[in-house]
Amino acid sequence: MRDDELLRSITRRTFFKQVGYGLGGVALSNLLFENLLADTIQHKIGPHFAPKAKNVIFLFMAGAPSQVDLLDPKPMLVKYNGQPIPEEIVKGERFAFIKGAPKLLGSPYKFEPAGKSGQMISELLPHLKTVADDITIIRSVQTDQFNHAPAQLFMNTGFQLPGRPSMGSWLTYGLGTENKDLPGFVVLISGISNPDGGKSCWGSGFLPSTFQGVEFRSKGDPVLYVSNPDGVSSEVRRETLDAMRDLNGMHYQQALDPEIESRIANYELAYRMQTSVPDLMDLSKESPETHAAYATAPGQANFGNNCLLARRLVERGVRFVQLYHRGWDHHGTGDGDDIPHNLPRMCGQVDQPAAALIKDLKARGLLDETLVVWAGEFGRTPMNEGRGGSTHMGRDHHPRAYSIWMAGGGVKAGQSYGETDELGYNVAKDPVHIHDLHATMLHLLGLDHTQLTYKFQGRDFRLTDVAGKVLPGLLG
Amino acid sequence: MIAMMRPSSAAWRLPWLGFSLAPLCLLLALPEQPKPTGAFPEVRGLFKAQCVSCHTAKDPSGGLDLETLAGIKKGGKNGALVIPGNPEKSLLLRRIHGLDGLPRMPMGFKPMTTAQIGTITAWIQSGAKFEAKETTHWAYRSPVRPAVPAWPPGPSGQTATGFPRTPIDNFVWTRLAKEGLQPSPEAPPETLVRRLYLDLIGIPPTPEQLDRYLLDKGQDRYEKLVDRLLASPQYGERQAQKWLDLARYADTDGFEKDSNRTAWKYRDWVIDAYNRNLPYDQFTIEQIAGDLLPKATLDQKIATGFQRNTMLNLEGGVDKAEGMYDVIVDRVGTTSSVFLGATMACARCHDHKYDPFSQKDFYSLFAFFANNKFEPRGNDSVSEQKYWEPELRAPSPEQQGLIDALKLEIRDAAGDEKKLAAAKARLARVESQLPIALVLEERPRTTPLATKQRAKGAFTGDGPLVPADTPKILPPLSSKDPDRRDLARWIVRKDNPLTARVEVNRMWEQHFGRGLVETSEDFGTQGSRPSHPELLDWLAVEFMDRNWDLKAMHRLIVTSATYRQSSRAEAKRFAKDPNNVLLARGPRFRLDAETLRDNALAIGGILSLKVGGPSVFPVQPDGIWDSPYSGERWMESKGEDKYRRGLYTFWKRTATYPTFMAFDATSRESCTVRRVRTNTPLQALAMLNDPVSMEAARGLADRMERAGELDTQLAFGFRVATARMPNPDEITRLKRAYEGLLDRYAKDPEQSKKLAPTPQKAALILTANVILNLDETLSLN
Repeated sequence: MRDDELLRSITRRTFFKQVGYGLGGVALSNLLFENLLADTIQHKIGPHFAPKAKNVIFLFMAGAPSQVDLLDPKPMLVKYNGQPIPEEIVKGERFAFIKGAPKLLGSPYKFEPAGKSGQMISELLPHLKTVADDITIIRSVQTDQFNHAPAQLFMNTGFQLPGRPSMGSWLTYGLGTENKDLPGFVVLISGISNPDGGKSCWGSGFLPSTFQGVEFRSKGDPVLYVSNPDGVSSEVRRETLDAMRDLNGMHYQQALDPEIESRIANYELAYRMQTSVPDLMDLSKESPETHAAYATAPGQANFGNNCLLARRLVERGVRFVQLYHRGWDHHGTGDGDDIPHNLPRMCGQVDQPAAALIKDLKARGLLDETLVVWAGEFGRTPMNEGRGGSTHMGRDHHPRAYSIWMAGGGVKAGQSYGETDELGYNVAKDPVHIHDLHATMLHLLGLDHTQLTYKFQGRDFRLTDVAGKVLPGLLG
Repeated sequence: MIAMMRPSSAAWRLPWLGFSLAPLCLLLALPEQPKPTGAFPEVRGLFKAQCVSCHTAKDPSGGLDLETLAGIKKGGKNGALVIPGNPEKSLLLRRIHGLDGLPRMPMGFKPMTTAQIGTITAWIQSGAKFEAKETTHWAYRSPVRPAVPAWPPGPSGQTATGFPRTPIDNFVWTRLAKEGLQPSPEAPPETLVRRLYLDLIGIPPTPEQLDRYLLDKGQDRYEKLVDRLLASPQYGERQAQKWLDLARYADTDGFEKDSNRTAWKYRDWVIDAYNRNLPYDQFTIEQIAGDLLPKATLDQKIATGFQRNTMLNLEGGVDKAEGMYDVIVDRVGTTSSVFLGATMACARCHDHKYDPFSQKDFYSLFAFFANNKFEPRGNDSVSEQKYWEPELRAPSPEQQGLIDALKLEIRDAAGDEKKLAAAKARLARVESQLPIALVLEERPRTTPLATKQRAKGAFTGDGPLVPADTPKILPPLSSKDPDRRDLARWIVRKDNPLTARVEVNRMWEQHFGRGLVETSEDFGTQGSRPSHPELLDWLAVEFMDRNWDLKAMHRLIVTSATYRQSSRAEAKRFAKDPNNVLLARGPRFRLDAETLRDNALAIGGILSLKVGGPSVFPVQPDGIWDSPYSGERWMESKGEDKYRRGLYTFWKRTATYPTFMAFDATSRESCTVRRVRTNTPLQALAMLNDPVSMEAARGLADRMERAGELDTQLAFGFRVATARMPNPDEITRLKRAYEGLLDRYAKDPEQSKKLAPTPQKAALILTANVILNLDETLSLN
């Protein structure tokens, strides 16, 4: 047992000694419950220094959006469209699907400067242009993985195989949560299916499962089993919980095991979640203007709904909110996954809600303390894929250089960071490896990535493994 | 400052702020486990890991060489490293704390943790001794049977109470006496019966089974019960459920597609192996190299499914050779963790930082698996080429009997075309329905097994060829051209210092909720020291001397007086030893995920006891399964398969059965030696509202209804769940709950009808829900 756990169990024990149970099972005072609950959920080891951001909203674009069509304009690529890529560039490279000598593929979409900052953004993202001065576009992100599942795990956990804790788990482990009635790490899913990396993307790995992401579902119970079964009203549930509390209290008198106290506290927290979760998920009280701004679709698994929920979650002090929207895998094997048809469709689903979220957070004064990240697991090749001779425009997986954007939470706004070469193949300036991104995010939240560690199988593990550096150029 | 005195009680009421201020004093004042005396091998490990990058023999900073014993004893240019017995004045600690205006050590690196500093402090406190010569870590020295301490201790000893039932008690009590603690009295018989049932077979006793025990006045009723339970088919299921975590058993491939696989023949092999009490050495050999045994049986081949439980990435762009490399890396890591308690995976990229395993050792083990048979499949032109490992058709004995009979029929039917055709058709049908088993096979070879040592552990990394071999720190292999069979036999050789210790420690962990070595996954220098080193060694030697007899060892442990103690955390015992490391009380902990399910279904009287067969799909909310590129859907099982034991639940890696995950089960993507045990509100929601819980409540209410008057009903329900009769206060409280619920349902017939035909029944179902959610019901007491 670690020192803090030891201490906690002893401290709790002291509380119980002071208050005690009567033989008839006298209920605990509310104050005591507050303390116990706080004890149970407010575990934290940080921050290590004053944080810029309190919360994170991570918009995960699963499938990997095309940077050269959205955020990283490449005129030379357009100029040499259809030419074979120079051999020296791709010699010895490993691709997921491309075979032989691929041809360059210029973007069919126009880029224009947006906002006062004049950041170049594609015509496919008109709404993002309206918040250009609030975001930083990073054009030089690098990852180690070029298949979806390993790369999504890498982006989330800093390692390509399942089993490590995810960013949100590390953060709630490091900072605890500010809301006593909701989990500290919430996941919302829209798009064509769950992400490729599966639930390990928000798993707690070897950290205690208390820190795992909790999926708030758009259909059925938002949190599994948060609703009472048919025929069980809230009053009936209260009646049963009172009985459990008293009977557990009596048993505590016999067994004297502090775990029993913890169990009582968690049943109380569960009861509170039965009210707080439906209240959170109920979007009906939001104004029609808000619904229109986010392009919500009540009752569906919709990215707009989830962006609005993300705002409501950070308002309530939830530490890490992660949205997944899968469907960006534009290989060009047909109309369904190509650059001319499907890419605009995906942008249409995501662009407006994401921009609305930035504006809404800003209007409510939450943007300064909320770090928003929009990113996929890797980028896409500047070359056409042409799998099996396909004539559809499409791009293969590309880990060497891609673009993401960040906003709020102490990030320097209105700038483009990093550059790729003229064909967009490699990073030319200011590389940002995933480990660096993690280190910088943790820094914004007041955590030193080298000190946020957890010992497992004899080794101190961290989100950034043995690498990662904080990038001052990204800090506001 | 380094505070060496006892903290005031106020200091430990500052739970969060307190840490950074007073870590040392906490460690010294609140010993989690008694401080050992003598040498601390882990101090050398700490120096190695934290200090020697600068303080080495070649050009030691400050003239201090922390790599050699001589250097440590000599100290640096500022003088002696430590003053034995005086941590406060010792230079080493003052520098680690950054005192005296000098930089904190290790300079430029992360500070040492509280625990690490605590280890060094305790080491100095106890005299700063090292072993006389360079010695190996305790776990790498073969265990020698220690003498069993005499009980009661000699005239100078403490007052002794109680009668030891097994040598285990002599070890545990001698230690308790030294610490000034007394063992707890024996737990009440009904508590013991429930403890044994849940521990050995994972199912609680029925009232009839309880009564049978309580009415038996024989002196040996306890031992007889243990034997009955060990002989029950549910024993194998219970043990298998634990082993499947180690074997990372799952019913899907993992990763993006996470397709279904047919792996349950291996799961059934494990259940059967435990039930027929296959000795642990043979159990080990068959799982690692069953296919290579002379005249290997179908069963022995199925056992190699252990190594086939690795994940398989079938995502579009995956390189098949890299995929296979990852598979073998996992085989090496899992084999070392499970059988050797060694964190060998650390040595994939570089020499182990703490333990004496080199990167070469890792690849020497890798070489044993490098010749595993796999074949490319699929279309290489579009990168869809995958690797494929062997599968076998694995008929059950019944199916094999049928096949044999049909073959005879075909032989005898020669000439009778109609009969022949019918028999052939039946044979074809039977054969098409045979389940498959995933197995390991070797490719033919002419040269000894060897593999490339990959620089930095990367698939594309280059390096020298290393032959198959075992880690250098452990006893050497004897064969010239070793294969997996030799590796397996080496693992269970009696001079292997780890295997027996690791397994008896896991058994101990099962029975007491915590191993003698708490880090059951790591017996290296970074793992915990054993709380009872002599007992661990005694058990390990005993295990080997009893020819690796698993049932005998379980029996030995659970018949000890130590195990039979009451688990009541009485104040003095708790204050002295909150985590029960010293075992002055019996085990008490929350049941694990699968057992919680089995327990609830059994209490509800609806648990199916069918053993083995394909995995099942109990009730699960919609929308849990939603993998990309997979049309596979959760097809809810019918009939009794809805109520099978937890270990038969279909285990999908990317979307594991949610209630299990809430209770700390893992996705089985990799080997889990030890599950963490948490206590969360999501668990409460699942336990209260999962349809399975409600069905169990309904089942329990049905049983209660038949018991008689209300008081009797309540007492009966309580007893089914906890094995004991409720006391008058508890009955009063339960009755108050029932009456409150009845009142509500009587006033709200609409709600009531949703649950049951009468308000009385609805109230009883919810009362059963209360009973099923009591901490006592959810825990082994």
